[in-house]
Amino acid sequence: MIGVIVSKELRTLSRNRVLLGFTLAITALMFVAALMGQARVDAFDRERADAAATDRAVWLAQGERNPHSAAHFSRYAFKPIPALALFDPGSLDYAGIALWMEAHNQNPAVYRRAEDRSDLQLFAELSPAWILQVFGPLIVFCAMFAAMAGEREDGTLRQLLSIGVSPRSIMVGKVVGGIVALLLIFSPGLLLSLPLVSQSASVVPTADQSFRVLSIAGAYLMTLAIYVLLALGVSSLAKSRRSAFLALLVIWGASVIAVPRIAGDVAATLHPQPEAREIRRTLSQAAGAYRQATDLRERELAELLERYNVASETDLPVSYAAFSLQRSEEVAHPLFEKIYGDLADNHGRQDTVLGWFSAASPTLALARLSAGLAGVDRFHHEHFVWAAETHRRKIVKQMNDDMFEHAAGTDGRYLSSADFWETIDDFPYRPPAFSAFRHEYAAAAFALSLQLLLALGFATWAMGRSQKLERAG
Amino acid sequence: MIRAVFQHELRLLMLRPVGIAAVVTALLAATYALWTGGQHLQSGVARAAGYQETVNNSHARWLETLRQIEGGELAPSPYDARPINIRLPAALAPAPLGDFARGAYDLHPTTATIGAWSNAVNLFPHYQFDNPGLIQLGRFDFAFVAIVLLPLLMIALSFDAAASDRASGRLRLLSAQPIRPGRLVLGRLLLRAALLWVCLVLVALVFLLVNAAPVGFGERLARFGLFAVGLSVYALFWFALISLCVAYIKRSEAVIASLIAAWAILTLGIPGIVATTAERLYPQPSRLAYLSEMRQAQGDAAREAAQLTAGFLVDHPDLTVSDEAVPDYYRGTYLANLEVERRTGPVLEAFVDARTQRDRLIGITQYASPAIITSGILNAAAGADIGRHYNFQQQARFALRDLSGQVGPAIVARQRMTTGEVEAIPNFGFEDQPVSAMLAESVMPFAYLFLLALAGVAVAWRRFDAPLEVFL
Repeated sequence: MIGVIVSKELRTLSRNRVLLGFTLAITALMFVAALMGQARVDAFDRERADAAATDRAVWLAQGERNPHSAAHFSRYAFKPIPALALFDPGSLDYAGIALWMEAHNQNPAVYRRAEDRSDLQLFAELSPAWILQVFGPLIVFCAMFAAMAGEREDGTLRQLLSIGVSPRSIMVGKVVGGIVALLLIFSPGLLLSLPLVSQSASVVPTADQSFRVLSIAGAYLMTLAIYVLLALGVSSLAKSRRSAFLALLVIWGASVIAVPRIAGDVAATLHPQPEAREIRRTLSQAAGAYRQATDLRERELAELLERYNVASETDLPVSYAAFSLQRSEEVAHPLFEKIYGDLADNHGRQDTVLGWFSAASPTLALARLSAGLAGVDRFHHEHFVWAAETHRRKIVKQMNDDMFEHAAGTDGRYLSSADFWETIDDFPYRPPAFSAFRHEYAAAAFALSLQLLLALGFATWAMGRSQKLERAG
Repeated sequence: MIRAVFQHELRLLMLRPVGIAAVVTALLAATYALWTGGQHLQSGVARAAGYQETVNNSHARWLETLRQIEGGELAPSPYDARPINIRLPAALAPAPLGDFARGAYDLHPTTATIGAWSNAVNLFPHYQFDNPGLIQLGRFDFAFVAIVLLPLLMIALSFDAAASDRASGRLRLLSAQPIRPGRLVLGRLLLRAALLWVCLVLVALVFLLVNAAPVGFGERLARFGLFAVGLSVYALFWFALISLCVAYIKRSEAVIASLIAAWAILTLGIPGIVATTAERLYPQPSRLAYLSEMRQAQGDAAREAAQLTAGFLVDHPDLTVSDEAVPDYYRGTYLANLEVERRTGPVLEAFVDARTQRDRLIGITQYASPAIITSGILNAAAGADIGRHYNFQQQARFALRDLSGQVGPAIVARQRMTTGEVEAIPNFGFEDQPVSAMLAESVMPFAYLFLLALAGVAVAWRRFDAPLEVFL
């Protein structure tokens, strides 16, 4: 019987012209979005590779130069673009892509691509993920609003029950029918887009990437199932097709359009972003902390003199200037960690607020999970930032060490040879595997699972109630 | 009679859960958006003022040192009162109506320190500390309520204005009354749309006064006028579209499906497609290439400092180089920055060109979507458009170029400037686009949207005014 109901649902949906129109539009839109996404990812990847090559060439062409002057000039770390960004760009464009690994300072990543966008993209962002997240639930509701309300209005629900069809069969048939129909609606767009993904220059098949792709598919399927069950529940409770559709549209408007924006606003109001000027001030204080710590400097100078058994700084066989430069770096490290750690904590608190709002919006939970799986969210960005900071510390130390050993007695005029720059390593960044911080997404995955269970409970209860009333009436 | 019918409709509407929910939602959403907008406006103005005060105080101390050196009260050191250390503040506060829309305010730099240590590429101090996920979500501002939520609420409140009466046969009963049922339906639609419009405008008027800053109320009022007209014409467009659907489509679920599809296409679909197409057709130069150009220029300048100095002195034969022991890197940094300006100038021009081309394309394609027209007008009126940020950046770069030209010869010649020369350097003052210019830019799109709405209402009116057999 379930098979009969499923095929009847599919037949009914295939006759729905509005839905067919939607399918065509979504297919075209998904394909165009994937095409543009591929072009963007490939272009960004080329830009990054060119910039990294130029940075290396400029670095190597310095000629003879003072290592500390070179450490100020230093190098840039460029963030790679994950291949799955062509499906879901997440917050990729809202985070910096280049980080200056300068001596003394831990800088934030700069050049956010979103700064080059027009005002229009503040409302809508054409990517396959965005289309599925925004229009997916709408299509579910358009396809399913009459699933039970229509049967009741037309009197067919009573007929079904009277011939002994079990309520469970009706529900399973409707849910399966709805999900199969949705897969048919979205499949053409996804299938057309798949070759683009595989053609993308930045795709390297790995176990991690396969896991990410499968998890993304699972998360979207789960969310669509939530909306199918919600539609079925509401359709069961509504007195008419009209009121079912209206109620579902209110749910869509709230959970897809309004709640994500309100969530962001409330998060920023409850945990405001510290002023950039204030952050710069504390960073600058941290960078100069060693210079201000007179007692510490005097004690360390005394220890150094004792170690080399000399009476004054000028008698040292090593460069005291280089020693204090390196010490000022080391003293600043924990202070930078505290400043950026506090900032990350604040962002974490903001994300917690978003997590609470995710309870009211499966779309918000899905968006956070999807961006994480695509490798384009805050956690992945912070991983890049800290990897760059680790590298900064390493290369600045290399240059300070060179000065420490060779600059003694040169009165600050020491120059490293032109081939010294070859010994300074390039930034060897490898994006993290999802397993590195999957715990960060446990809450969003839990929220989606819970919503699925609640939606299932709601649909079961609503259909049971509706059928009870139908039998009684 | 009509008045009695309107009063009855209003009472009826306010007794229905949908009516109450729509009005309460509109009031709450507008109030929340403008309340948080007010906080944004106040904090933005305070931040800009605080920044200016800090940098100005530092400049005043620098100037005092120069005066003391000139008066012989202070023995000058090589570092004191050097022209490379002149720093002047540039800050972009939210516009006087900044509480009505935030736009991209969180995304762009709002401060700069104009001084010869900087060049066009690194003029804006680091500002990219925000949570990227939060900026991506956007803000729940009043412009969002007006452009995105208002049409949805209007649709929810009006889609069954005729269908339920058609289905129940009530419209046929009404034909016995001395009023055409179609006109009654149009009046009903007008009442429902007006109710939501009044809710938003009333809340906006309250916050126009509540959030007002002590100065600049005149400009705030002028901007609000433009904002209110934009909002009203947009609401009129949706009223026309809803009327058309209600007049021509008989089943209520078909009415709401059509309207929601139209809303999704006009508000989300077309803006997304237009923006992406503009980005694809007129790509901005790569920011990373821009950075690379700066790095190359800095690297070359570091190696060729002597030649650059000689070249500068050839261009300024009147300069006498002082023999004071001034750090070499003062001159080196200044000359490197000049080189960076020279080399990155064409890239910056390419940015401006691409932006101009994109704006031109959006200017043409905006007629495909009332949401694009209205967001352009509302954001410009509130000073939340990206163009305002670009203007600030460009004006700050011009100010840097001017200052650099004034202090450069003294830096290269290792001389100090006189107090009079320093005091003659103008302070940075951001020149906002005047409301009259915004109005001039908005006239065509406004007129188009208004005429489109009127045409829609006229077509719907013909249907509503048709004999009962046709309308039913």
